[in-house]
Amino acid sequence: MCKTFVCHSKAETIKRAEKLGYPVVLKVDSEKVIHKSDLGLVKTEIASKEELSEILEKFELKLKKLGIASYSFVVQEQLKGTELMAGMKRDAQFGPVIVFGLGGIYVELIKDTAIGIAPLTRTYIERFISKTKASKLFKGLRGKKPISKEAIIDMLIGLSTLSIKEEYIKEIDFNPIIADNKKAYVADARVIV
Amino acid sequence: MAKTLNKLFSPKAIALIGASRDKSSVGYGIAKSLLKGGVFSCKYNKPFKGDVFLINPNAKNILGKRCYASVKEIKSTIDLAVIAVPAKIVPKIMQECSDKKIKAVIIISAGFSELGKEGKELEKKAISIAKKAGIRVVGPNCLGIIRTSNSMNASFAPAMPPEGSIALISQSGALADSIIDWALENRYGFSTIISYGNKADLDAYDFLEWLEKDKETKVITMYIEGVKDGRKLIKIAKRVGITKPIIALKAGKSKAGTKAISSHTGSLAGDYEIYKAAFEKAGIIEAETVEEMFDMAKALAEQPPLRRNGIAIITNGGGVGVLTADYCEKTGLKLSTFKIDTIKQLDKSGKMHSAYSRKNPLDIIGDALSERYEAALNIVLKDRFVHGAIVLQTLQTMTEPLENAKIIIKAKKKFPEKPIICVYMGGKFSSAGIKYLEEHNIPDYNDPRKAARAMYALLKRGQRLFPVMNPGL
Repeated sequence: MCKTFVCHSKAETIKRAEKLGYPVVLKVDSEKVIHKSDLGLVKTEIASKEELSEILEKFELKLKKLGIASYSFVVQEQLKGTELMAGMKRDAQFGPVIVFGLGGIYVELIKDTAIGIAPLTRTYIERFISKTKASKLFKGLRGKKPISKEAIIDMLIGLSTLSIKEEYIKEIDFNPIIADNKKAYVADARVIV
Repeated sequence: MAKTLNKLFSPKAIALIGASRDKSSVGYGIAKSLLKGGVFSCKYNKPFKGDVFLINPNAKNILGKRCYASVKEIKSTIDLAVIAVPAKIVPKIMQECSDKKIKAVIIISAGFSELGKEGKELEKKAISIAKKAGIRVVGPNCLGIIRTSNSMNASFAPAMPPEGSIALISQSGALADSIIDWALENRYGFSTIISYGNKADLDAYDFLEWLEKDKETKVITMYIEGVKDGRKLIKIAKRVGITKPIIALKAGKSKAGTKAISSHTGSLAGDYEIYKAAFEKAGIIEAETVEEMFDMAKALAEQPPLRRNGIAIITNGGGVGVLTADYCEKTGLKLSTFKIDTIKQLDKSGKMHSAYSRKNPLDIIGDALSERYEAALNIVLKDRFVHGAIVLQTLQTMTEPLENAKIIIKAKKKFPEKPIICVYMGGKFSSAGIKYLEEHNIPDYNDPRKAARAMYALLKRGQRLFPVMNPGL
């Protein structure tokens, strides 16, 4: 997971952002909101304290209009890299199934995903993720540095282990995962229990 | 497990409970199937090799055979009971089977869990009686079972299919019916046909497990809509797949995404996608259509696996050669690059037309006689980069379908480890050649796409059996 702070006031949010250093990402966390981006409650590349205060005001106004009273602000470091996704769904017949593919807000439009059925081994993961177009990124594409396949495999193994152990978890979304040639960070996650 | 199911597949005595005189009833159909082999007249119909007992308290005899009022009236041992009575009295009948110490039961009757709450209760009741007595149950709501080796048609399928080495496990009974009718026309042979309906007790993997050791079965085909325990399917199919190839056709592909799902993962991993992943993990070959499932089964039953991804296409028509190459690429089959020496040998053979293609697909030109096919086959199959071949024949004035077929069989004997699949494109004038090919276990398809998909199944088999030769797969 990338550096993330859940804050309960505007002042706290600004304080945390200052510590993280700009640019930062600001999101709203509320039980009432499932797809934050759809409601315009995510802002990336916030460059300064002034910009952050302005956006906090805007979000507050928006939340008021939506009638959402209980929420917190989430401030995160701004990561650079390629957006991927991983997830888990507990299937009634097959148990935990693990999904990997290209991430971001168009994930369901692009549908570049492959599915593995837990438990996962490294060779099995390599085999099923090779079916995605995203797997081409492991070799580097169009002059960009390759994404660390190892980091992704580690993450999928973690997801598999977690879902086998914690049976109350129904679904998990890691989207986006921001990956570079060394590491992969979960920038946003949703866990459904 | 396997032992109990022996009673189901190889019984010595069968009791049909609910035999009927009414020609439009299922009870009549099954009686006739057991006693004659089938209702429709067909040369493969034969009476069951063991004893058949008919049960109907209201009839003295049916089809010239004595009727009993209950299984308990029969003195000798009964191995298998086929139940075709109204759902309501099935639990009572199951108790009688239990008292009679019958160990295998097929419930043909419908009106159970497929029909709502009341049916579900009836099903539960019948199964719990069976469980207590150690009875294994097929169905309810199914067509029944057919075994060709002991001429057992314990179903209301219209007729017996030809004997062969393909087993079909079908969740749909009606589909099994149609497949039998179609197999009669297309000479596809079956060892076993199982329709298992509501799978209240026995499910697809239980049958897989039994078929694993069945001497009559070489290839297993499955039509499934869903299984109770997906992980068990993977575990058992993985093991059975070492000895016998398994091909599956999954229905219900379009359901995904129609349910309201809250996470991305939930919507991306729909029911069909998960089955596809499960098939991959279990080493099950997935067919796209019913016909394709049996095209693949035929190739897998008759030909060795394709050990590495690299085949040759030999053709006397340029167009169909290119078409076949297209289908191969689409399905993931690679065309081998011939060794330079192979081209040299073809040049030197003195049999090639001056305009022959000198590369893969090997177009040996429309006027090819069988001696040119012979030279091409022998030289190309010797190439160590060629692991199998699709041989195409289009019909020209000078083409010799039967001679070509004989040459293909000869080449097959010389290179037993390399699969050969034929495409005799045509009908009437090619039929003698096609018949000869089929009699000698060379699968022939009338369309290049089918041949490519069948070869793909052989590749999947090769990858399964020789993973070392296919790294990264």
